[in-house]
Formats: sequence, structure tokens, C-alpha cells
Amino acid sequence: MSEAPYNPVVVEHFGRPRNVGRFASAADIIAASAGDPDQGVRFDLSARVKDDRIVALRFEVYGCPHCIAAGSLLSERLQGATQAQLLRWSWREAADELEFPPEKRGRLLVLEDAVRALAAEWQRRG
Amino acid sequence: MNTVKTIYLDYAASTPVDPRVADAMIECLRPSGEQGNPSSAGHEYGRRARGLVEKARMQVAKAIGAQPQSIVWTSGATESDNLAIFGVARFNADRGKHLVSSKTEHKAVLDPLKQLEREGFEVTWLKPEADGIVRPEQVQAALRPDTQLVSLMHVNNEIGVVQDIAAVGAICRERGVAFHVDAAQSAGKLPLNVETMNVDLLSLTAHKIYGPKGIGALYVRRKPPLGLKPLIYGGGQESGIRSGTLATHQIVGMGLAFEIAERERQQDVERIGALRDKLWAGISSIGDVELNGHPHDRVAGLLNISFRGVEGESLQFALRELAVSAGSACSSASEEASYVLRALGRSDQLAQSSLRFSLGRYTTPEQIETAIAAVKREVARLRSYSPAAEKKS
Repeated sequence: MSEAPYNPVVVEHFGRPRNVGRFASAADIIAASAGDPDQGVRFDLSARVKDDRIVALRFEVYGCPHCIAAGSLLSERLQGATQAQLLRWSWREAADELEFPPEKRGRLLVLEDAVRALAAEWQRRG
Repeated sequence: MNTVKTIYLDYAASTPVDPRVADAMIECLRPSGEQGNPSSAGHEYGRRARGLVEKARMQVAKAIGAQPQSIVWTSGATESDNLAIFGVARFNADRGKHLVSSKTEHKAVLDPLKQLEREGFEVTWLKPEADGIVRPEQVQAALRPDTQLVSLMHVNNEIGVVQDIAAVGAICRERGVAFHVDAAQSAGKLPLNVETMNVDLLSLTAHKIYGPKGIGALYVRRKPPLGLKPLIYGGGQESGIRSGTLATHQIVGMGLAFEIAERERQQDVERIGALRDKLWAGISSIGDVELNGHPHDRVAGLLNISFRGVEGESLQFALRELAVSAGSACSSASEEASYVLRALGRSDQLAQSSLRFSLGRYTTPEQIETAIAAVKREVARLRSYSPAAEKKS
């Protein structure tokens, strides 16, 4: 298999994904997930929050190379994010940078669902 | 591209051409070679080309225990399958429109049968057991007075299991039903004898047995003669069953490939089988992996393995130093999980997380060691990314 189906950003993040893992439950940790491996993709997100910002974000993923790269990219982009920024995050950002094939964009919507669920959990915690 | 160092473990998709075969083909193509049309019996050029075609016909016939005149040249196993299925069904349509096959056949069998369904034929689709084997009793139970054809592959292209062709053939023969077998994956790997296996039609291809792509053959029983309606009309070659100028160099390549494969089959199978066992021992030690298909009734050289908690496309890309197939090469462009593995009852996740490793004549122990190390490393890496719920499953 050549690297042709994946752009260099995907190849780089796939080979060396950032911030993989999860934080153990704690008062300052929020977590959320979306997807189902039987559907081909699942994202688990966990974040340490302080005041009104995410100070660290970890992700776990079951999915294709584009999805692994998307989780990694997201984990970098949302470091330091506020609740408002979290709510504004859109799948289109990752779709453009990672050149997601149109037929796979549904998987990015799953990631967006996980981000929204994380924001909802944060709001619920107050 | 990183193809230079890629270890080729996709022999079930296609094999490299044996250098001995390539040499024979190149000789045909040189200016001093055989440029005549094998059908031009009126001059020396044509007669020499015909001689080579007939020698190859004998080589292929001998490898399957057939008479040479029962071999019809085609463009490959897909055409052979189409010719066998459409040919028998349409020839006998006024006597009955029932056909029997299985859900795990190659697309080259499934799709012609589905087309016949659209044309008013009825197909009974047998579901193999979880081990991938269709029991002969299932075939027996499916036969009806109006059944015209049973089509069953000898070796499954995705999982490598071997069907009991002789037993099914005996049932069909007893009931007077034509029996077609796709042997694309078994030629050169298992003994083939159309007489003792009671086979009426046998599809063969060269490119999975170290011959060239673009050439195949269909064995068509001659005694008693089997009625077959052609797919291609034209110059009346191959007794009118398959018109078109015969491709001398391709046919020469297929003939020699079959002769070599049959002559070297036993030593090839023993060596490749030992390498396959070594590969399975290495991969199974990772844990949470499953071998798809019957553990023993399988060809040497093919392993289809499901990896729990690892997504298939990621695994294939992570293992891009190995040329392996996710599902079958013929359908891996599609997003759907393998229909073969789904038919065996695998979950979507397991079916989607499967890789086919197929070994062959040029596979070395060093390549297998490298492959085992790569699979161990990458499965562990990808599993470490998986959500915790998946790690436990």
C-alpha cells in the first residue's frame, strides 16, 4: 500500500499521534465519547480543565488513519480552549487540513459529536 | 512509493511470473518468435503457433487429469466463471431455471448468478458453516428436479478453506446436474483431477500460479458432451465456444506455469505450509486474534486473521511494509466489511479488522520473521490507542 490515500499531515499524525490516552477520573477531569467500533469509529476524549480552559486533552480512538490523525490534530488544537471555543469546533477544520475523503466525513461528525458531548459535560459540571 | 522493500504476502491476489515462464513468453514475442495466428493453418507461421498452443493445452489438461480437447482458452477465471454459468444456464433454460451456489463464492460467480436471477432464474444460496465449509448434504438438500447447475469454489480466495469437491461432484453426477468449480485458488496447491472429482466445468487462471495475467481456461466436459452457450461470437475458435484470436505467448506462459506448478507442487506446498505455520504461530502469540475458516481444511500459504480492537484500514496502513490484503483484493475498494467473513458469522468489527496473508514460491523465512515482528509491533501500537472498552473486548 502506498501512502497515496493519505496526505503528509495524516501520515505524520498516524505515525506519531499526540496526546493519546485518558485521564483517570478526578474532580478536574471531564470525559465524553461517541461512536461505535461496529460502525468503524469511536472517539473517547478526556480533558483536565482549570478555571475556564482546557489545560490538557487526551484522546483514544478506534478508526482509520484519517480518524487517528483527526483525534491527534484535535488534541493539539483544543489545548487551552475555552468552553465557547470547544462549542465552536467544527469537523470542517480537520476535514480541510487532513483532506478527508468525502465518503469518510461521517466519521468526523462522530468526532464532532464527541467534542459536543465533552462541552456538554463541562457545562453540566459547571 | 516504498514498494522496493515491501514484503509481498499477497500471492492469493496475484503471483509474480516465474522467470522460466517469462523467458518462454518472451521467446514467443521476439521477431524470431511465433507471430503467426494459430488459426492460420495454411502456412508455417500459423502451424508453428498452433503447435505451441496445443502443447500448452496438453500441459494444462495434464495438470487437471483432463483430455486436451476439453480445455477452452479464456481471458482468465472471471471469464471462465461467466462462460460456465451463463453458458450452462442459458443452454438449458427451457429445461429448468434453478441453480445452486454458496454465499462465499468469488464475485465472478456471485454476480453472473445475480444477473441470472434478474433474468428469471432462481438461485439457492447455501450458507457455509462457521468454518467456511459447505457440507455436501446441504447441496444434496438444495437439488430440485429443475436444477441445472451447481457452482462451488474449490478453495476460497479470502480464507483459503477447501471444499469437498469430490463429494459434491458425486452428488451432482448422480442427479445429472452439471457441476462447475472455480479452481483459481487451488491449481498448483492441491491435486486436481476432473474425473475423480466428478467436475463438469473447471475455471482456471494463470496469474495465481506464476503465469501471466490475462489468460485462463475453462475445462468443459466432452464425454458425454456438456451443452454450453457461448458468451463471445466471432471467428469460431475453440470449437465455437470462445471466439477470438488465441494469444500464443499468454497461452505458452499458462501452459508452462501449470506444468512447473504440478511438477513442483509437493515441495512448494511443504515449504510454504511450514512458513504459514510459522507465521500463524508468531501472530497468534499476540493474543486476541482469530483465524478465519477451518483450521485444517485449508490451502498452504493463506491465513485470514481477525484482530480484535484494531481497525482494519489502520492496520493495513501501519503494516505498509507488508503487501497484504484487507478482505479480498478484488473488493477492497469497497467500504463494506468482507461478505465472506460476514457470511461466516463474524461481527462487522471482526470482519472489518481482518487481514489476508498469502505466501508463495518466493516467500522466505526472513520475510516471515520480519512480518511477524511488524504485526506484533503495530497491533500493540494501535491497540494502545483504542478506547478502553475495546481493549477489554
